[in-house]
Amino acid sequence: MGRSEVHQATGMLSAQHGVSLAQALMMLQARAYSAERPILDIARDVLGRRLELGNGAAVD
Amino acid sequence: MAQVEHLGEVFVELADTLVKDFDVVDFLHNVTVRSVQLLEVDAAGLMLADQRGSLTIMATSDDRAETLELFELQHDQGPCLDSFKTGRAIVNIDLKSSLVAWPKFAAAACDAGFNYSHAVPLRLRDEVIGALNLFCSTAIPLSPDDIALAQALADVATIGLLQERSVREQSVLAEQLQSALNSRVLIEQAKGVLAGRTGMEVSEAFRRMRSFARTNGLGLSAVASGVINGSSDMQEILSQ
Repeated sequence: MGRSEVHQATGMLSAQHGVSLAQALMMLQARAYSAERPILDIARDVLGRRLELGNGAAVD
Repeated sequence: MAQVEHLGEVFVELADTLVKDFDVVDFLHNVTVRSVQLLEVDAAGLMLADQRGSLTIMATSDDRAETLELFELQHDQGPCLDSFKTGRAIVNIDLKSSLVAWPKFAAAACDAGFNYSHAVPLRLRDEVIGALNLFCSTAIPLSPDDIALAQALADVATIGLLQERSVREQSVLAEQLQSALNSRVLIEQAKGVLAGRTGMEVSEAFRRMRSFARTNGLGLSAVASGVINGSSDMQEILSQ
């Protein structure tokens, strides 16, 4: 997981949802898995504010 | 052609930051920014090998997604990877002629508006620990003097990486490089936290963290930790 944008999006989600970095990364991973898209794509959408992920620590 | 008149002051400045409040990620970021200025190229990035030997971005002169992508693609292919594997400088690569050798990388580089690329190795004794990668949108090749200067900048980056502790054993070197890579992750996450809290762009968040670190004589990694665990004065950082 060496991608800068994934780390940045992790931080952004953690701030937006008040969750830990580990939980924020899980949110990204969960969305990538359920949407069947690469995690980097999800990260870029989060950074571009094109994608809102579910709130709280809930990983759906 | 390199801007020789600034050469001395840049190396003095880089050497200075090695002594005072040294922060490895900040230092390497400076090396990339200075590489762009001195070599008159358009983008520079430093790639380091992690413990499994795969290349990871350590610092870049610019944060545009198209540019980051070029460094990230070199996990699999590109001049950085070749320079890292061979320990040699690979310079004056015409990207349009490299579509066969490195299809994804060369296509992405051309799309990003670059014509030439160069990579010089980060060498420590008989080992290669990463590479400095340069991109130009002009079709002006680097002169032999420029290539020597690029290698000198790469050597300065290596010295910076090894500066925090003296490196005698292999295991210590690996640890040191891993710790540098970990700091980089922390700083990326902190940029995201600041951007997420305020709505600003990630590159702007980085600028403010750096400025706050400078003003307060703190390391960038320390500021990033503070942002993440909430102990840094957020208003103070945002007012930079």
